[in-house]
Amino acid sequence: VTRPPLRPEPPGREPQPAPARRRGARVSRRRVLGALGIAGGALLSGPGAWAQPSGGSGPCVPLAGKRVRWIVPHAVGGGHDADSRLIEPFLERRLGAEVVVENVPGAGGIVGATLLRDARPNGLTMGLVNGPGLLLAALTGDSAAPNPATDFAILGRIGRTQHVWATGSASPLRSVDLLLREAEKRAILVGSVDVGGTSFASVALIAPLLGIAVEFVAGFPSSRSAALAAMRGDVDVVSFSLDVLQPMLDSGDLTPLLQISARPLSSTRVLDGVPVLGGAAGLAIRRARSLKRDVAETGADTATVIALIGAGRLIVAPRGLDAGLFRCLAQELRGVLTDPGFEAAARASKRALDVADADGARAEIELAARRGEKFIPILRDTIRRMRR
Amino acid sequence: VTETVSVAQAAWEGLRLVAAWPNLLHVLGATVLAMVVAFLPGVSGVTLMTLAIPFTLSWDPVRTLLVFGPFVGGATFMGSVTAILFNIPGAAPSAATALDGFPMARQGRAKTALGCAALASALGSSFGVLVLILLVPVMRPATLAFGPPELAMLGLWGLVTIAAVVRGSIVKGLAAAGLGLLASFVGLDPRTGELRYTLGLPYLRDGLSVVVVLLGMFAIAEVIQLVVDDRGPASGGPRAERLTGSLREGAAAVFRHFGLFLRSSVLGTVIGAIPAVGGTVASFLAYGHAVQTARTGRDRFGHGDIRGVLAPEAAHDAKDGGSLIATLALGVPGSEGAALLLAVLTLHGLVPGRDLMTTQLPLVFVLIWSLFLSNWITSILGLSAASLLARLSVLRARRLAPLILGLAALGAFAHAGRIEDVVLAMACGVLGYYMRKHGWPTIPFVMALVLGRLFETNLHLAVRLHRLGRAEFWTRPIALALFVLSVITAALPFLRRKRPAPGTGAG
Repeated sequence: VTRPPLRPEPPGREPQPAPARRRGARVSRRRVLGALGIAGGALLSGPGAWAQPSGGSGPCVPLAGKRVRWIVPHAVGGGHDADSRLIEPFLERRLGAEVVVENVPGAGGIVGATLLRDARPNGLTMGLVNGPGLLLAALTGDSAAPNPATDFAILGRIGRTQHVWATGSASPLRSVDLLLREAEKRAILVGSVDVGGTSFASVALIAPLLGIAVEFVAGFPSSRSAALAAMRGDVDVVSFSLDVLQPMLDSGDLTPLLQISARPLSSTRVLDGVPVLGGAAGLAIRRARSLKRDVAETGADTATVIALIGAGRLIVAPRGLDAGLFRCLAQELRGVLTDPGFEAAARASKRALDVADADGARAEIELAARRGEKFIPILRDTIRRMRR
Repeated sequence: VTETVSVAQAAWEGLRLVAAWPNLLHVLGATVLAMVVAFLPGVSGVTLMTLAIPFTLSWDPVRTLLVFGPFVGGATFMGSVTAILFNIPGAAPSAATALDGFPMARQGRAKTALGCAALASALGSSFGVLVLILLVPVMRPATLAFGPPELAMLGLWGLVTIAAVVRGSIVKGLAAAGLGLLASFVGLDPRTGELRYTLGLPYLRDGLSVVVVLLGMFAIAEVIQLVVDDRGPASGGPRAERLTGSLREGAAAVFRHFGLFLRSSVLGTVIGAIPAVGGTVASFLAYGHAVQTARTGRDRFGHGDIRGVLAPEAAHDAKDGGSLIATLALGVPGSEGAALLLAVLTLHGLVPGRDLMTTQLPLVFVLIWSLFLSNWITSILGLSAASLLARLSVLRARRLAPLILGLAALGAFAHAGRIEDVVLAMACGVLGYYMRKHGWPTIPFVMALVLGRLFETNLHLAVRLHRLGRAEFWTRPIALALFVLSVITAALPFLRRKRPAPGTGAG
């Protein structure tokens, strides 16, 4: 669990339990899931979690006793869902409101994100969106995709999307150096689920930085199917989030080649000694030197690509929130994300955190959107070639 | 357990752990819970698993696996109960059971169908588990053997079998299959990422949900039929006192058609072992295979042939053993439920792959035995209630129609929490009703929808890999064998035409 320096919540402000449910309220599967999520949170955070005093003071008073919809634009059981159910009990106690997690999957998160964008900005609708997925879709011209940099009030970030390049354990390309050497002779085959998504971009944008040619084999029904193709040797490389690849890296079925990050991604031992793309000693800079390219420009481009790919899981609300409400929600969420009980719960659930407050998360996504535009033609060209 | 133990020792140790007090109670409790959930259309063990995960964090791995065995695939028979009685598949794979199970209920033979489904389900599951135990040493190569060329050929074989299930007008049957294929193309083009037939609606980007379409084509179309016909009992069959058939007759059918049972179980196990294919494909392929290979009475399929109940049930439940192969050996889940199982294993520090399959093998067997027991408990409890359940099929249609409609709508909504799914289910219900009314068979439509995506996706991948020199079709024996099987399946009707059928009357 990594956490950038955020100011801790001032002492004396205690989380509060949710109010009693309204009588006759609709009981749905989500509600049951939500209730069980609270129970799960309580289990994770220990018996003390229920002993907090109740109330509803502070600038979020208008939300006390209300029902807050927490939209997850992805299916039950995934990373966004797990993070949301971690946040839910802590946020409930802080707001004194009933927070109901609703999974609204579809179109790679666009359906749920659109619902979030179009909701009334009254603080009663929030959610957790996939920053890089939406940003890439919006920048490459998908008119249906909300742009996370401009279409939402960003309240914070819970974690980043951490990508790793990996190959099958039987592959002769056992290291990134061997891969670069092979790439001098032929194009590297990359397995991908979709065309234009985050995993696709994590190769399409990085390959030019490393000066290698790649050929995509896109259309695998799931990231794990693509990983199996790498195990079989059908493709040379796959690039997916560490969440997805971890079991196969741990079991030794896949070999990690490259961490798409400016610093080592995780404390997991399986990535020990695996090169990092960004940073002063990163592969991109070393490669720029050996290819006699502009090192400063390569460094800046690499940082932008890493920011674009790793924009993270963002906590957002519809744009147009009242300034007081925005401040209060941002403050309460910061309190949740820095709560030691929440961090312990995340550790117990093996969820990697990389939190940022509202200002930090917004600044990063806006920067990624602004600088990322430079790379969109590369992405569009690659997509066009795929469609030819 | 830290040292490598032999498979037999691990199996024994796993059985001992499951049988130890009060572990059996955990299996029983989880099975009953899974049975209740499986009875509700659209809601599955996945929901239970999601709810249970926070609780399991404080449990030891053995207790967790005991509970997750039933959740991951232990109570699937219950989904077939609603399919047989009311034409409402509790889960998508149960839709294939409804094709002949529901007509049997309409003929007053619900108990026979339930008896056959229960035993085929329990024995099919046992077959899958047995294969799982035998294949432990070769699980990894077995799962890796199926790449895009093999899956494309599997899809092709499934599509070819559609010709066998067409009844009545061959033109209408093939046109319905064509429509099903077209429906399977809705959404993102897997090769280029371009949108097809989505009408600008983000909802359609992921394609048509098979679960939702099946609920519409089966349950809602049935409700419309009930209301239009204004018939007495919901099954359209006789009154309660005229119920015929028996559990014994249904159970005996499994042994009377033991060859079909074995072939369907093998098919289910193999398909289960292939990630991302799933039980729906297994059930429909087994159904198509049953029709295709029937020596007698092929015209009875779709009108209450017990073989049409036996084959999909055996395949559907045998699939669970196979799907664990991919999850445990490679960390590659074959279904949503298996993905949650993977998450739970990881939370408990159990890493799928070589270590789990060697040093922690007894824990794997705890899961296997739990799944095994759960399937038998479900069948026994389900059969105990079969007489009572069978009487439900003779309730007045007018009373049941709103209930069935409500359950189907709830199932469609619960599937992903989208109101659009309810609308789609209703639209498919209307389509299904009119197709039936005008003699357009719905089975080719749903089979093509289920198999179309599997075939298209893997055909694109296979062609691309072939062009890039990574998958030579002629050097892949499984792909070749499936291709030959497809050719033989396509040729069978012509070969049969040359010799007269020896009569009808099976089932």
